[in-house]
Amino acid sequence: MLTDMNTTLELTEGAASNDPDTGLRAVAALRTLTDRLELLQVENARRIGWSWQEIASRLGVSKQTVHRKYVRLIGRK
Amino acid sequence: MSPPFSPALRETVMQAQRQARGLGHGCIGGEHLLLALAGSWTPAGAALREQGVTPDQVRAQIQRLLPGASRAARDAGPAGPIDAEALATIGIDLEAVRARVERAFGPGALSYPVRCSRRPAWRRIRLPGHRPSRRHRSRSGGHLPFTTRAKQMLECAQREARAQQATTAGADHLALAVIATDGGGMAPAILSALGVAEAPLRAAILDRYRPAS
Repeated sequence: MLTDMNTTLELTEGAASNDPDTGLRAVAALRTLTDRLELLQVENARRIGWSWQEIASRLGVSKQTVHRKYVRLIGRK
Repeated sequence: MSPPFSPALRETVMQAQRQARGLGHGCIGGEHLLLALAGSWTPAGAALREQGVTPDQVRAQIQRLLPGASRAARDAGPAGPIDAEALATIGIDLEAVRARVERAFGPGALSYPVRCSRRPAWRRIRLPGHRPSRRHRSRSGGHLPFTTRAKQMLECAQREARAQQATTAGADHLALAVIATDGGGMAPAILSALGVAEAPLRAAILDRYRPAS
């Protein structure tokens, strides 16, 4: 019974990876998740006094990029 | 020229904001406008209650459709909900991520509607006394933004008012806009769950406002 279910699951997942609809929706969902996590982390880092430069280096982007993206959302402080 | 919003409409919107905040939601959506209208002392509110659309019923439906504050903001932004099913196909358990994030940052942290809460364009509908300034953007005391759909409802209320050659867009026009099923979103879902059709509701609202002749 359990084996049957596992097989079905594998088959579904195997098929899913080739399906652009599933694949693209997964990418979009992952991006939304990433965006929310990023805002949360940047907000928190700013709150405890991290500089834009420190945040940017962890995110692997330039200071300008992270500043431009978040300064209006989070505010200067 | 769009007709200005009436004091009754503005009060309804402020009430909708209080309701949204009370439910722990990050945006004012159609469901909050409906909730505020259903509880209002306007003729539109009376018409809604008469048809069975009471604040208690609406609130129960909102909570059924959006269980828990942590999930509340999922449908709020144009970015939409995080698609848990899609993430599952690549082996990510959204609920597990949510649980960890909430342990660190508190309930609802992950649901914080990134694109919804801060987009300046959404703030273009200016209600007097409802102009958010940068320093008032905290979630506790500031003004909540409208969802796209709620914004469209306010614009639709103005169109209704113009169609009726009214000088201001009032709570009744807003009510007609909110119950319209063509807009999609939660308000129609709530009404259909309550078994109320748009046409009789619309008629009941219009009836209350028809000038005595």
